[in-house]
Amino acid sequence: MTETPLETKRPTAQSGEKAEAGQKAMTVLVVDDSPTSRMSVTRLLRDEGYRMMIAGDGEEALAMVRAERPDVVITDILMPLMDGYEFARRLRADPLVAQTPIIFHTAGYELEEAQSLADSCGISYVLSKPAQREELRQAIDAVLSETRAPLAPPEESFYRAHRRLLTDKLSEKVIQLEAALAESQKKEIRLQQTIEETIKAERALERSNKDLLHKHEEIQSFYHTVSHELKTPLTSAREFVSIVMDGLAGPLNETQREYLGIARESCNRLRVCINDLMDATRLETGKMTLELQSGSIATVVQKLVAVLGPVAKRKEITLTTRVEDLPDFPFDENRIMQVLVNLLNNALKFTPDGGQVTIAAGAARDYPDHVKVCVKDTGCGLANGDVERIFERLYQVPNENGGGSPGVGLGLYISRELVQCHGGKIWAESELGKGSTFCFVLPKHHPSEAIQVLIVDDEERTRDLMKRSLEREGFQVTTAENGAIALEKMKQRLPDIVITDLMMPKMDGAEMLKQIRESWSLLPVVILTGFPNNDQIKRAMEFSPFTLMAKPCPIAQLIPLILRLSGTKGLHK
Amino acid sequence: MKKILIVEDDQAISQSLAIRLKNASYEVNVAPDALSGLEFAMRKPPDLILLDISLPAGNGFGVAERLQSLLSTATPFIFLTASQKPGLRQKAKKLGAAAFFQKPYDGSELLETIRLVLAGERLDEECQVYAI
Repeated sequence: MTETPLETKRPTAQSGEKAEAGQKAMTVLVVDDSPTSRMSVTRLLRDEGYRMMIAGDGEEALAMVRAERPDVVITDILMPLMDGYEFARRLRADPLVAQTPIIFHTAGYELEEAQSLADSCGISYVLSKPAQREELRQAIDAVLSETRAPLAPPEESFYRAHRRLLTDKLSEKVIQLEAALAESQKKEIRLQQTIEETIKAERALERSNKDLLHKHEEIQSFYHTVSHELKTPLTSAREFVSIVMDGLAGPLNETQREYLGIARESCNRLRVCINDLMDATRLETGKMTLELQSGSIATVVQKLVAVLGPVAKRKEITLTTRVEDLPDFPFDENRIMQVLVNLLNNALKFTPDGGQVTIAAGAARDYPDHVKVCVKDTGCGLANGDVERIFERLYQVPNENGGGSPGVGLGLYISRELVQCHGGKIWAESELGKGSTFCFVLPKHHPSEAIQVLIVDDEERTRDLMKRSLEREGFQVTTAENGAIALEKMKQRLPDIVITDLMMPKMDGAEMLKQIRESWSLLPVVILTGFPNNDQIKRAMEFSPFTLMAKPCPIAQLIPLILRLSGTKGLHK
Repeated sequence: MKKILIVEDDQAISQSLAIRLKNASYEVNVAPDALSGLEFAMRKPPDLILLDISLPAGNGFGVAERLQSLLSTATPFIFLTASQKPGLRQKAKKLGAAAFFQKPYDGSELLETIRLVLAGERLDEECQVYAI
């Protein structure tokens, strides 16, 4: 058991207060089980010129008093082995040392009882802990001037009081200990809770990661389901209309045939709408995938004419093709076919009966290593403002009646995005009343070859995985483990696109984006994050544009996104 | 009379197909799922199979694969699908499909393709219809 250690720091005493020079130094024995308490008293009195001795409990102190005969003893009360009362009684009972003055130095709460017990032990001074220098000096002076009558053996009441005091003190100590124990248990529980919370948080992160992946798959499968569910009934509706129109359900009169024709045309428009909506959704959510395979543009143009030739014929439009001999190159045949069908459909739609539409394909003169395809019509043409806006999403050229032409207004938007996914460029040239020419160019080489990608992520595995996957696709890839390193690398060589994590040490994604925007206001940036943190995203928002994608992002989706964002690289005139 | 088996779970679609095909003087049978399609083809081998890709109790690719290994003579098959999952067309090509139609398809074009396939003519690339 130890007394509460309390050390009082006081400046050293002035020389005038010190024990007189030449006079033999008084010896003081300090008895205390608390080293701190012992040291504090010892230091104070040593400064006053006393010779100091120390003992840790009553038994040790008794031995020292007998051997060393100190002039004064200052003792604590509650100590292990032998307490202060017992020590004082034994000392008083030993005739050789019975006259040694004793001062009790004890914690304040027990002072009153200590005083009464002290009287019974022939002790006149009880100091409250921690005693000040002056109090100690006065007490020493006082006890030295006292004369002590021989001590009578203690009465029964002393023992009772002593026992009660000890019991009280003991229970107080026990309470203190229990409180300390409870406190440390609380701390341990808190620690345990923190550990559990950390584990929980880790699990939550894992779960949210899995959830994201799951969500991603769910969205994919939702697209497929919606697409499937819309198209299946449309297929049978259109087919039954056709069957009746073809006379398979009996003869039809002209009015019936006309009405069914309208119904079938509506089905056709619905089909285009569904496909456009699905494609636009795919593009906007970064879920468009390309199947690049070496192929020939001439073949695509042939198929195009096979599909839409009959429409031209119906309108008596002369459809001419001029296709140069070109080597095969990688592109997604279905997607480029889709672009061409859209351009040719528009040309046929806006060209009056008897007009001319020309499809030309060949090497692009203005763009080295590119193939250029143009669809030229002799239709109504476009106003300047419309030429600029025609590829915007949902933009429709207003017709004479102020309304839009039939369609959702997604066709050209999708065409532009699909061409850009290939790393190409699409544009229109037009003169109102004379006709329009829509052209696009596609790179002859794998579109990824010329593209520099900078990957910024603090996780080495992610960096390596992305680097390897993108390099396999032909991209040129550099990596950095945080924003600061990335900015350094960007200053040395500016990439065409930056793909970055958000949470990183040293400099996070949002801060890096801020600094990127200071120098390069339009550099394409993709933020790939596993755990979207609202604050960081909000911060990043101030430095848009950027594209936000959930991690992990399948490489098949990342590629068209990179191509589309960095797509017009080197193609700006 | 040439026999055509339709494996398609949407009844309205299989019915419209059956009307067209019967009108073109084919003998038509319909199976509404992968398993019954397979069973029917084994019992009464058709001259051509129209296969939906997503089917109950399996899928069109599985049916095509099983039939290729089980039937003694090579039976041409044409896939019809409303799905736009990437890679389906390539997979159909790999399996040796005669044609691949995206729903909604054009009935008369499908009929013309069937006629050419049954006449044993190799389909030119242009004849494979694209979703417009």
